[in-house]
Parts: sequence; C-alpha cells; structure tokens
Amino acid sequence: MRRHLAAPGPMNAPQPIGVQASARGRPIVVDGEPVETVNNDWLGEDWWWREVELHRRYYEVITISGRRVVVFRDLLSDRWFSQRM
Amino acid sequence: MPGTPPYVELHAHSAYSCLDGTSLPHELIARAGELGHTAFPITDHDSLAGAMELAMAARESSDGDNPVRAIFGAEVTVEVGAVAQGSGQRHLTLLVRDGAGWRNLCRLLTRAHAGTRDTVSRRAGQPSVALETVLEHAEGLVCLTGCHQHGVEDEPTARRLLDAFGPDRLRVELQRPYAREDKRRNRARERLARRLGVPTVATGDVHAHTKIGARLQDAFVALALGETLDGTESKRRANNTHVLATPAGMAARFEGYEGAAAESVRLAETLTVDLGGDLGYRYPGSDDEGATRRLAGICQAEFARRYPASYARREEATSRLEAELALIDTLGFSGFFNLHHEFLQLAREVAIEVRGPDTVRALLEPGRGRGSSVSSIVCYLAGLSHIDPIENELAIGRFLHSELTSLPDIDIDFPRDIRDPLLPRIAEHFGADRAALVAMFPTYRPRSAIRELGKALGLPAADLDRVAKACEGWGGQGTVMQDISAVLGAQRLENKRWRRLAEVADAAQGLPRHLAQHPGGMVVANGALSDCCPIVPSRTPGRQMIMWDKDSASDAGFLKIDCLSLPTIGAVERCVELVQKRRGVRIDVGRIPLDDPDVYDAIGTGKRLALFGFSSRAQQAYAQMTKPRTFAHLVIQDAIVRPGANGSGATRAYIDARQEQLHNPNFQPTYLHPSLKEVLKETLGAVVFQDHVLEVSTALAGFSPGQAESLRRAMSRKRSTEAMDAYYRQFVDGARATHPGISQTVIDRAWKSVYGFAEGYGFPKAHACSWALLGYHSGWLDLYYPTEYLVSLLNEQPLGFYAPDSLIHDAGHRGIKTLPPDVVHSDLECTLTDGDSIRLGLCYIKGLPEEDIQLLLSSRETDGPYRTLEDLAARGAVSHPVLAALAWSGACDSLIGPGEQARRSALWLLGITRPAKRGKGGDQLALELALGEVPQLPALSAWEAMLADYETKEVSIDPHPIGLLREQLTGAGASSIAGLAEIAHGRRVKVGGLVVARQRPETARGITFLLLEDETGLVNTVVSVKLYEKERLVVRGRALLLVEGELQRRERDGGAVNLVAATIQPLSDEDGTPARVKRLPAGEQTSLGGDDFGTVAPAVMRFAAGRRR
Repeated sequence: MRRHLAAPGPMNAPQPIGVQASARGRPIVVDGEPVETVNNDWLGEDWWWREVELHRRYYEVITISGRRVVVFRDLLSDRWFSQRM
Repeated sequence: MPGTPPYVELHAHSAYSCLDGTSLPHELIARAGELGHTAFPITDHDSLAGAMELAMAARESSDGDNPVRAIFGAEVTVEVGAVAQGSGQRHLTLLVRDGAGWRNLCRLLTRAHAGTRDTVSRRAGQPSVALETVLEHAEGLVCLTGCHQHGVEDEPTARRLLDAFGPDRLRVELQRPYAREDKRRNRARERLARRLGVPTVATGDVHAHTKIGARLQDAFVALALGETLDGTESKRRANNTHVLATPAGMAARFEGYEGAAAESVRLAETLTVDLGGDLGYRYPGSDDEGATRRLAGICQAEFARRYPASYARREEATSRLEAELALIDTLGFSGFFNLHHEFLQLAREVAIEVRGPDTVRALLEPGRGRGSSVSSIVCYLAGLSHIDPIENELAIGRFLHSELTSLPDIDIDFPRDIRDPLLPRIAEHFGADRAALVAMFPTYRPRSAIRELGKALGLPAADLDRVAKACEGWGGQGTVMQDISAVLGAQRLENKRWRRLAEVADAAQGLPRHLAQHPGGMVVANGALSDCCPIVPSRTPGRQMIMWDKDSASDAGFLKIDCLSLPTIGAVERCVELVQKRRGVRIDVGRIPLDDPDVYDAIGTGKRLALFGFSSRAQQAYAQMTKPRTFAHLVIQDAIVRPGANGSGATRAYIDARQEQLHNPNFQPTYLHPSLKEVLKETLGAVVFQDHVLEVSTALAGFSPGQAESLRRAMSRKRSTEAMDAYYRQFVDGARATHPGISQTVIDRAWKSVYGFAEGYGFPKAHACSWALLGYHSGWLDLYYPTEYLVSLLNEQPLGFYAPDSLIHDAGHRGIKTLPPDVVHSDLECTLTDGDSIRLGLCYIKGLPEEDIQLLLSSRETDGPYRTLEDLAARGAVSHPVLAALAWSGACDSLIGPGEQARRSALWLLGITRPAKRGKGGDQLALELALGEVPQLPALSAWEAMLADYETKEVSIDPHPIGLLREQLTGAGASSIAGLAEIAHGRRVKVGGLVVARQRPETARGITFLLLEDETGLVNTVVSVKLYEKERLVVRGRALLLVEGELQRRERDGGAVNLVAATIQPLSDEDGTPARVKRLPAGEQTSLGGDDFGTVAPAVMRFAAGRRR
C-alpha cells in the first residue's frame, strides 16, 4: 500500500527553546543550561514586503557544558527559538 | 543641543552613491541636526557629487536651531594588489582635513574615473585607484581603513598607509552593523590598530535618514544585482542599523570600544575645510589687468555700425554702454566678458568650417544669445546677443547690478552642426585639464521607479506595466498608491507588496540615478580643474565633465558657459540656404521686418504647427485669444505660457486685460498698487517676466538690487519654495516701510504674483525677446517659403512640438505635397523636387544605418540610377536586411511598379535574389539574374500599408488612419474635425482622432488636454479629472480615440474650437475596426502580425517630457 508522505517543511526551521534572559535581554540560561559566554550577537530585520516581517535578535552562546547554540528572540512574538547556523 | 556629543559620524553615504544611498545631502543635514549631531559627513563611493550640496545645506543650518558642520570625504575603491586578505579591491574612507586634502581627493577621484568608459559601449565601469596613487596623494587627507565588509584589514597594506599618512592621520575604522561577524572583526581590527600604534575610530556607515529610506536601499541593492528582494537576502544589509541614529545611540553601540567613539569626536575637530571658501578656481582672463580696455575696444569697434550717427537714440545707447562698462569694471567682470568673446571667436572659426565660406549662412552669426544676458548692450556689441536692448527696452537689472556677488550667465544657442564640433574645440583651445562640461543628475521618474522597484518586489510585470503607463507623475506622497488603486483596484492594496511599492516609489522621487553630461554647460579654468572638482569621462567620446551639477558649480564660483543646441536655428539657416539655392533670393535674417501684419495674422490664427514657441497647444490657444500685433506682444506671448506666470495667475490676468484692450481702445489697465504702474505698464498690470519679480520687490517692498536678485535666485533653485518662504517676512516688512498704510491684502497679492515663479519657471524678458524673435523668423519663413521651411524642419528633427507625421499632414492641407522615400529618387535627407513637392529622405526609414544609405547613394552616383530590384540587389551596396527594410517601407515601389502588391512582390524578389558579398578586395558583384514572374501575392490593404508606413517610417503620408475609419465613424455619427467649424457652440458632437499630444500640466489642476488629429485637421480636447480617472488607461495609453462631448467656441477664446469630452473610448483595429488582416509578408516582417496600431503609432508630445509614444 502506498503511504502518503507528509509535505516537506522548510529546512533548518527555527525550533522553540526555553531561554531566560537578563534585564538587558541577553540570554543567561538556554535550554536549562546556564550560559558561559555570549560569543556574538546580531540583529535581523527583513521581509518588510511580506505579510509577516522578520525582526529577530540573535545570540551565539556557549553554555557551561561547552555547547554552542544560536538562539534568537522573535521581537514580534517575544518568543525564543534556536536555529542551526 | 548643548554640550559635546559622545560621537561624531565620519562615514555616511548620500543618494549620490547611486543605488547605495537614499538620502539627499540636505535631508541628512536636517535629520542629523534634529538628532543632535553637531557635524556630519558625506563619504560617497568614489564621488564628491554631493559635497557642495552638503556644504550649502550645512551653511543654511547655521542659521537654524540645529546647526550642523559639514565634513567632506569619499569612500575610495583601491586596488591593493596581492595581499594577505586576497588581491583585489578594498575601500578606504578618506576625509578632507584642509585645502591640500581637497585638491588631493579631487585628483584621486579624477584618476579613479579615468578610463572607466574606455569600452565600445562607453558605459561607466567601476572606478578605482592603485594603492600607490592614494599614498602619493596623502597630504591633507585623513585615512580610515574602511568599512565593515570591504575595509583594509591586512597588516602589510595598513603599514603602507601608516607610512604615507602617519599616526596622526591614519585610524583603524570600527563599525557595528549588528551583523554576525562584526564583533570578531572589530576585535581583529583593534589588535591591528595596537600593532600599528594608531587609535581606532568608530563610524556608522549611514545609508539612509529614515526607515523607509532603508527599505528603498534594500530595493536598490536588489536592483543593482538585477534580482528580487526575496533572492538577495544574504547580499543586503541584515537590518536597519544603517539608518541615521542619535550620537548617544551610536556611542552605545560600541560597548567595549568607548575610545573609538571618543576618537570620532577628536578627529572631527581636525576636519575643518569649508567648501564655501576659496577652492582656488580662477577663470581664464580673470587676472588680466587690461581686460576692461580690451572689452571697451571690442564694443567701440561695433558701436558705430550698430548705432550710426543718424540713429535717434544714439545718445541713450552711448550712456547705456558707458554705464554697463563701468559696472562691469567695478564688479571685476571684464575678463569674464572677454572670455565669452573668445568663445564666440572659436564658434565663428567652427562655423566657417561647417558652413563653408561662400554660403548664404556665412552671413549669419554662429549662434544666438539667450537668457538674461540678451539685455546687455555690451553682449550685443560683442556679438554675444543678437537683440538690440535699446530698441527692445530691455533693462539690465536682471542680468547685472552693483550688488552682484557671483558671475552672471551668458548663454548662447547654436545650431546642432556648429555646437557639436564646438565643444571639443573649446577643450582643445583651453587645454583638456582646464575645460569640462557640467554634470547633471537624471532623477527617478515615476514610470521607471514603479517598473524597477516593482520588479525587485517580485510583482507581476504586466500589472506593473499597466500602473506605470497610467501613472501621472509625482504629485506628492501617496500618488503611487492612488495610481495602483485607480488601475488595479483598491483591493490590490491589501497586498503588502503593492503597499510597499507605493511607499518606496514615492521615496525614490527626486533621487539621482546616475551622472550624466549637461547638454552644453561648460566650465573652464586657468589652472587644472581637477584641483577643484573631480573630472570624469562622459559617455560621448572626447568629452569629459566635472562631478557637479550647475547649482553646485555656481556655488563653487565656477564660470559656466552654456553652449546649447537649438535645432530651430539650424532649420532657419537651412531654409535661408535652400531659398537662395532654389530661388536666388538672399535672405538676411537680421533684416527681416518685424512689423509684417501677415505674420501676426498667421500667428493669431493659432493654427500654424511649425512656429518656434508659438505652436504648442497652449500657445496656439493664447495667440487666438490675444491676437498679437507687435513684436512686444510676441515677447509677452512667449512668457505667459510658462508655468511661473501661469501659476501666479498672470497668464489669465494678461489675457483678460488684452482682450479688454482689443475691444475697447480706451481701456486702462488696473494695477495692484500705484507703485507698480510703471513696472507693469507693458504687460497691462500682470507679473509676466522674471524681471518683474525684481522690479515688483524693489518698487513695492523697497528691496535693494542685491536683495531682489537673491530673491530671484532663490526662485530658480531646487527646493525653491522653502527658500522663498524665508523672504516673505522681508517682503512684508519692506512693503510696510516703503508704503506706510499699504494693506496686508495688497502685500499678499503682490507676494503671490512673485511666488508663482518659485513654483514654476518663468522667462526673463530678454530671453522671451530672443525666443520671440526666432519665433517671428520661423513664422515669416513659414509664411513666405513654406515648402523650403518644411523641408528644413524635417531635416532638423527632432525639434518642436509636432512629429513629422503631423507636420506633413498639415502641409498637405496647405497644398504642399510630400512624397515617400524612394531608393531611386531620395537622398539621405529630405529634398525638394522640381515640381515643388517634398521628397522624404532615406534617413526617414527606421533602422537604416547612415553608412548603408551613403553606400546606396554612392553606387547610384557611380553606376547610374537603379533600374530594377535585381539591379539594386546585384550591386551589393547594402545587406539583405537593409534591402528588406527598404522594400517593406515602400522605397522600392518605383522599381517594381505601383500597385497593392508592390511591397510584397519586392520582398518576394529579394527573398530569391542573392545580394553581392563584400570582401577584402572589394565588393563581389552578384550576377543580375532574370527572376521571372512574381506569383500572385495577396494585395496589401490600405490599413496594412498604413501600418507598414508607421512601422518603417513613423510617417503615413496618405491615407490618414482616421481617414481609413471614416466610413465607420460616419456611421457612428462622428463629425470630421474640419466639420466642427460648421457646428454651433454648445452642441454635442462625436469625433474620432489620432492623439498627437497629451498634456496634464500641473497648473491645470488635474485637467488633461488631448490634441486629436484626423485627415482634416486638429482639435483640442479637454478631459475632466473625473473622466480621466474613469478612463485613465484609455486616455494615457491609446493612440486612436472616439470622443463624444460638448463643442465649445467662445469669443473670449478667440473663436478657438475646444471639445469638452463626456465619454472617451478606444478606436483601433484591435477593437474590431476594421477587421484584422492576418496575412503576413514573408521573412522579417512577422512582427507586424502581432502589433495593433498603438505599437506603430507616431510619437506623442507629453507635457515637459518631449515627444515619445
């Protein structure tokens, strides 16, 4: 019997992630792990011509276990996501 | 804002970094001031084009609440060679510290642009300079190591920069664009700075002063890459941090690099050069101590000839000359006049070469003066003007006065054939490094902005095309939104891409697209021009231009001489020559009597199509209303049609007064105030000329000559309305002080009458005089030598208001016969036949290279007339496609015999005739074969032949497309245009016509005017705003229309017939009238099958946009 395949999703789609942030908005705990250092931070503002615009604040963090994670705060929904980069 | 800001911007781009910046210099300065910046730079890519505008904007800001000092520099593209970070181009931010730095940056950029157009297409390439060149020009410049992405980061190159600029003038540049890699990059750059022993400095790389500007910047990047916004995400800026921010906000971005922000403040204090000062420019002859004597000698030598002892006003002329020479001497401008005389001498040399010494044209001066300089007796005697200022009562004040602080303009119009060789001759005479054309910056126009930006937004091309075709031009913010809604429906604006298109297309308004050459404005210097302003090659081989437009050049104190081309002068000269050749009559244009009533009668009919300055739709209407009878009337006539006079109400006021005067010999004009009676006597109380602005502000508001001239200058600049507002208070105060008790209403009405000249341009009286004279001359020639004059016009195209198609149709109504181009009978240009008909030249066949036409003519000259089509093909003068173009245009008809099959038969025969081939040893002639009979080919219908005529020549001599539709039109109850003369005022009529002009002038408050032509004449059609909005696509896009409406013929309009449209519908073959003919000729003509009339229709005159379909 032929199986119906699910429609493929976008590659490397952002995944929701739990983040605790400092008063200045910088991540201090990511996915339950304290952040050792914020290596880099940057800003994404784009898609101003699409129905849903892009406004994201990105952080590249190293957790205390040595894990490198890129997380971003969606400035429109005020939610945190992780994304492989 | 009190206190020292924590940061000074040192790296910013204006819209002059074309496609990489979206703000004009004055917008940047204004916004910077609002945000608390005390100084602001422009560092455009390889350009100083916006520098003078920045200087002027900064100077203006010094009088306001937020003064901002200008900092000058450029982001220079440098070839660094093989270095650690890879060979190729890097960017350096070079900032000007002093005069030596300005000279060096100008020289560097001149070097960067040299050779950028050394290709066949002469398209501008990427400018760049070798690193060594930068090092050689380091004096007076501060070097920052460059932007985030393209700056210098390798130590060997940085050390070479350090050696040249020294630790005081080299800084490692840090930027914080909140991109992924900028922290790592800044850490590396800081380490580099430490190793070099120089400070870091923070910069912002500003590209826009608003968020919408940032969006437009995104679209520009996509445009530059030829891609869409969706496809360029990784190539565009990731966010809006390139929008101008507050100094505190900028300083806060550099957390951990506080010293870099503080260094920007320290460094800015050392960058003190002011472009408003002396750039070192001097014009040739400016230091000639004997200049006044020399100028007086030139004038005196001519005085006796122009004003003989018997001349009644000789004494007046003598006093005027003495006064002008004294004024010129006081102002120190004698060398300036001598220099123009030197230009004229060069033009005379060129004219002799072009015209030959023995022609009747040799009698004529090489050019004609225009502009306010025509009011000068010195210019008249020096040959720089052809108008006698004494006879024409021209006052000198608009051109010269004692408070003048900058050089006035002396402009001269030349015929094309003299102007074109004159420009390189000037450069040759003064030295290539001392002469260059002025630049101009074509700006974004609505259609191109909608199409290009819409493409970047990924919108459908067909929809964009419809909106672009229907768009009306910039009428302020929100107009593109209205265009989209009108054409595609309001629902379309629910789509965000369309809303954003409206936003960015509005924002693109007025932004420069690229650097182009001014038509004839030339700057000359007595030293190297590239020490004062960068020089770049022009697209025209052998020409170069400075990087500034006429306003910036004027602000820099550069002497600009306008050598403009005016094709009508060429047409007049051609006509004079033709008349002498054919009739043996030598016409001295300078002696044509200016009081010929028949010429004024002809102008007053408002029906002549070929008169310079008196043939536009509006000019014809005004002439019918005012019936000019004297040359002075013509001068006024030429000025009232201009937007300045129209906008201020002067046009209507003059027409009303003149009509009153025509009906009442005792008419006395009314004046706004008694002080204006003398000033406005000639124009019956209306403020018509630019001179009137000066005279009204002097007589009513007590302005000094200098104040009045400043007001006049403010009117003619960009953003003139803002500049004018600043003068309102002075005007009110001055009027009250000069005329105690004057009412505010009178002051405000007087102000409104001059303010119109800021909202639209107006003519100085001297200029109107010069143009009216050319108009009169063209009218005189058109009246007495109409055939010769028409041939001359047809050979000087493009010129004038009407396309050749309309000129030929009109000539037909006047009994002048025109014959089509013919390979046996035609020359390159149009000629007169022995039977006094006009034979169109082969140059009228589109797509025929002049070189090929010359080969055809030369073969005819050498081997005799072409006898048959086979003979034409066998001689091998031209290629097969050229022969096919000749055949399809009908130019081979006389070789094959007349008839409806002629063109198709010619194409058939050419299809089987093998033309000779050109080889190294000369042309290899093909044998002339007997081709036998042509099969029975389908006849070409009259409609098809007419389409082919428009397709190949843009001219259909006969029949007129409306004539072919006459039967159907009559059936539909439509009148011919000539037939309207028999119909009473106020009656409802229908007319079918070809649109030959379409205008929607700003001064008409949304009314659109269409000039419709049929086989019997022309009629002006008025389209209301409501009807226009309903039928916008038809009105703007269709060539053949059926209009129904009310016929108007009022006495106040001079009896002119107007059709006030009630309904408009398209009328063309694609709508079924007549039926389409699907049979196609063989070969190259297949494109015809898909075309409707609109694709081949002749050009339409559009308001302020010239002729185009």
